[in-house]
Amino acid sequence: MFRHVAQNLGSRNTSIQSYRLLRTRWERGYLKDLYHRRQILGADPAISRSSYPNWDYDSELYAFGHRIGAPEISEDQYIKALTNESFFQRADVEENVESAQPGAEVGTEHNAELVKRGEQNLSIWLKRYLRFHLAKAPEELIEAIDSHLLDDECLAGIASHLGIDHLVRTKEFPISQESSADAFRALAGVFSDEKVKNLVIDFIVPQLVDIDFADIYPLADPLAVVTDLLKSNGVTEIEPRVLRSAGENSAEPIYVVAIYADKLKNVGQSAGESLAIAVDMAAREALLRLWDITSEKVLFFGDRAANVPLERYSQPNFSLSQKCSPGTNTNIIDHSQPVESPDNLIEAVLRYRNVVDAEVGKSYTKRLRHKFSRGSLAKRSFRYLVKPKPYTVA
Amino acid sequence: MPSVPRVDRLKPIYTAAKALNFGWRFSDFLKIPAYNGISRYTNQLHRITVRFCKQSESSVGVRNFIENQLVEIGRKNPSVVIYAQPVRNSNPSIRAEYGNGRTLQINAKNMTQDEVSKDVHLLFSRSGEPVVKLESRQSALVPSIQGQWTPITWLPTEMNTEQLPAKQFSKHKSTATSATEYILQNPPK
Repeated sequence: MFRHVAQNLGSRNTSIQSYRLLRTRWERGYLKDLYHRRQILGADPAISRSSYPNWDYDSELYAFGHRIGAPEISEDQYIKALTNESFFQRADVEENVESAQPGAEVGTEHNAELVKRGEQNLSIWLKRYLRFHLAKAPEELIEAIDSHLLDDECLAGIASHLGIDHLVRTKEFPISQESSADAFRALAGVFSDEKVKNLVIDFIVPQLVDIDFADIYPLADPLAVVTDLLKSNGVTEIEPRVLRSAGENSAEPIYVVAIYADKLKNVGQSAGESLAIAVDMAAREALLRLWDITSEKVLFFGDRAANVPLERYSQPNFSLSQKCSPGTNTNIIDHSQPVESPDNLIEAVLRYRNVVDAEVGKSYTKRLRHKFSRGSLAKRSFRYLVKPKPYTVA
Repeated sequence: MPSVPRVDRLKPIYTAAKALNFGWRFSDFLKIPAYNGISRYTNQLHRITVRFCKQSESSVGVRNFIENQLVEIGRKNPSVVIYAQPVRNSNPSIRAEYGNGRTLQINAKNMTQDEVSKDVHLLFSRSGEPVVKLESRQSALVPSIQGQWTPITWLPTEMNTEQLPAKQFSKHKSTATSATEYILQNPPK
């Protein structure tokens, strides 16, 4: 009899469901208060991925090797490449703790030497690829692209996407861009020549898709450079011309300038908000066009790039300083100099009053006051907003 | 007292989240995470964790999936780490971690083996970006061939030397025959 009653009580049909959405009156304010205290406290500190229970360093290294395209590299070499020099200065590593995070035996080797070798390998193969595609460009441009693609920020982005951030053994947490980029370089130091080539083609070269070459290599005097280069090609006269202009007296003037060779051929054209800027942009456009860097250039990726014999492009391209005349400034814009101070304030006010105001006129702020007011719905005073409440006291 | 007090309302938070357009992103364009696939495709899924209970009835599908399919999936995808976590009295779940740092979790309670398999396949084929309504189904890495139109595009070169306003540049152009042209072409008899 007792058992029968127990079975009935244990049945699901007799259970009472309670609704969890409704709260009592005291509970609403209580929960709001908890919420706002939590907001004041801020976020929890970040925890390394290796602290979670689902983490196995050996499996991660195995998967990482396949992800990066080099599964035949041994685990010891990967561990050496991913071990930073500062790892051995950690307190728990110094005290010989068992299985220091993120994993593997502590060991004694680090990746300082591999980083240097990897940096050289990456630079060699990237320059070969760039020389293959930009055969007419000067070596200075190739150096600029190389330093842009192989700097810490770009390499750290690639490393983060490949999952290197969780695997690097280092002292700091969270890992810095420098350590992440160093780990990527160390991997290039461990790989064989063929693997480094594939690494460059698969992960570094696609970053070229969104690069603006005029921003990477900003010449200080592009018009003089393009003049010298065209004259060495047989052109006798180079002059910039204004093709279009609009809005000279407005806040956003525009000038379209083209560089003409021998008064007939348009070798570069661009727009700018002042004549000097437009001439500069047109000269840069002329240089890029002269070096065959246009928007319809097709870059090789994947197998198409891997089949190219890149070893033949080890010799540097021509240098700008050789082709330009000695007096031409071939340096890059120096951003350390202070920017010139703006025009005199009184002159600006007088120019606005005499030139701009005479043409543009006054604005209709008073006539269109209904578009500038906050309407009737918000005409109440702000006292109820400013009233002190627990969650507004920070 | 701050001049703009922080008021306890959901609307500012919601508005801020919409402005950030990240966690509650509603519409976006197609994206390529880290230029993946331009040169070589790399699976964006880094880790997948299958969590289940050894006795629970709701984990039957997940247990069957682990027995029959998980080893084969791991063998075919060596670049993904697969963790199987038996936790007593837990809800079965499948959690995936992607290269861009995002984590996706699917509640696999009372799922059959086929449903679990379908969801695991979904996790393998994603890039970790949130599922959004597409602003446009097409995107291109190459900019437009003829360039973006500006008011300066297609201006005739005769305007360079002409003093404006000039009659020839203000004339309305049309392919339809106007009444004047019709009468001129067909004079009344």
